Amino acid sequence: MGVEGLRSHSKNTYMCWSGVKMAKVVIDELWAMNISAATLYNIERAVDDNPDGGGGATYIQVGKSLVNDLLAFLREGYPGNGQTIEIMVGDMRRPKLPPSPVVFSSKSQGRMRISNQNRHRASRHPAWSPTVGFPALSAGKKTPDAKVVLEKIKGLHIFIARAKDGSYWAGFTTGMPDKKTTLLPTSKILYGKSKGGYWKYEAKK
Amino acid sequence: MTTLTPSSMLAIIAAQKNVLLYGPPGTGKTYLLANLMAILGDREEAAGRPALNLGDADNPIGLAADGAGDDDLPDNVTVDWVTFHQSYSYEEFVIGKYPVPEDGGVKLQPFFGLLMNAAVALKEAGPDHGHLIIIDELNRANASQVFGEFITLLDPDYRSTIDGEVNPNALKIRLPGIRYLEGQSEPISRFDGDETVELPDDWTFPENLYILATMNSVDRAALPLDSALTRRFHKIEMAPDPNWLAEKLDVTVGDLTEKVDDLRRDVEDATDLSVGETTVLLMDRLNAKISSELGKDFEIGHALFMGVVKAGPEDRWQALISAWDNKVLPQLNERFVQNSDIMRYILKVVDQTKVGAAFKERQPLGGGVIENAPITVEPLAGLDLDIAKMILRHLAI
Repeated sequence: MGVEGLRSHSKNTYMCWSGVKMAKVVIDELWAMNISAATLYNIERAVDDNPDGGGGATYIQVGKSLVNDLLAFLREGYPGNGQTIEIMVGDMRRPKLPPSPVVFSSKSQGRMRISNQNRHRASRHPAWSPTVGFPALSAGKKTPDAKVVLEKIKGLHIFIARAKDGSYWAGFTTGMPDKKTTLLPTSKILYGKSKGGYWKYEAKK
Repeated sequence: MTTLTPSSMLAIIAAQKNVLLYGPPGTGKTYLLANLMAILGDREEAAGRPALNLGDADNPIGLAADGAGDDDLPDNVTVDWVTFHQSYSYEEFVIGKYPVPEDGGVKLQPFFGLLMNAAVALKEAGPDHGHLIIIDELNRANASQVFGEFITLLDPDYRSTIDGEVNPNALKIRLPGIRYLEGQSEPISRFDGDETVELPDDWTFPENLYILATMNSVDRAALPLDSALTRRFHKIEMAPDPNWLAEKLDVTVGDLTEKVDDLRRDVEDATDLSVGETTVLLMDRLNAKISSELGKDFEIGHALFMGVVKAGPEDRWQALISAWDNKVLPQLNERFVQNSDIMRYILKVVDQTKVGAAFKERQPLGGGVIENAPITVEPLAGLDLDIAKMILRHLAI
């Protein structure tokens, strides 16, 4: 609602205030991570494409340098062996879909993982699905092919945001931000060669 | 047609400094002001704050406030709202002197009014601050008297800076009625609080002070604005918008135009008209007549039919009946109180078989004809629903 008829005399134009607003969700916190070629390959690998001696990874690995950021975002301590941290997360590109789980667990050497993200073997979170434009690899493609894809789109970051109302939303970014978006404090961890990181809103004093 | 979003409205304010919205009641002037207030509030709160653009695949993250950052307003904009009235004066708006106790007696202490208070605060705050003064009902006060010599300073060419650069043509202001000693004014009290300020005698008016005013174009009691004032405002007419009404009521204007053309040839088929179509046609027919008699400044606004838009499909006829009885008819009476011929035309009083249950010419006791007889009007809400619907459809075509 909110449409009014406006006519500007001095400019001699007729204007209509559409008042249409896209749904916006103000966010308090955001965690982001760069997706490497190896990770993209792992989560795109077809069912019959297994490394020698095992089924291979089906998760997104969170490197040690991003673990503290992730735990700060989740407001959790490092999970013990066999323990998981699960949050229900909406798909920001399809906000009408019901939220789906994202499960975090520990990995060796202080790393962590986002479990079950290979889309052929598990149920990857819909926010990171090719249906909404997330990069895909066709069957038989390997890490070097993933690298070509990522170079073509100039980088890929996944993110999870916590909104003011406490809800979680996931999405991804590619390439570089436009001029206006560059100014946002979140852009430092969402674009280009950034490994990712954690951003939290600090109210002005 | 140019789409004017809330952010582009702010951009107009940023570029023009002084904007005047004018039009008849019910065209959304005050609603627009309230929306801008809310947007500016969001904008301030969300300055530099990210938000997810849900459903937007191309721009997943942007600024929280709609349009924030699109305009050229400073980052921090504060807002004052004032409604002008007959008693509103220069002393309240620019500067005045008020008695305050001193040494067992009283003295006249100068106080900044709303405008000067904002201007002084802005000069102190710096170039990344702005201030918007919203003036509702600009012509209810004697605006030229209220602004006084500050009319000149509405002109951006005479302010301290232009686009942040020092303006060599800025006017140096010595406030009237204020004593200056060694280049400084006597202490002047702020609008709020106990603090006083001494201004140098070469004080200049800040660039980032904006005024957004409204004016009801119908109100004959209000004072006309003089050209010295109006030429310093960028004027935007707020006109009744039948297309907006049609869109909200799911009416296709093109189809309706063809349909009504047929109906006017055979009025018996008007029962085909939906409540949405009736509403759009009614506003259009009334405004065509009002505009031809009084001018388009006197047309009735689409917001008078907001009740129909908001009502559920089952309740829309009742909402239209209520809008007619309580909002539209009083507006018509106000405009044509002295002219029963026009009311006779608008109400189609000659078609007594159609409208006789609600509109009649007044007759003397015992019958007979009075020349130029006044029209008696019954509220449609008191009639059988089908009869009320028939009357409204008939009035609409």
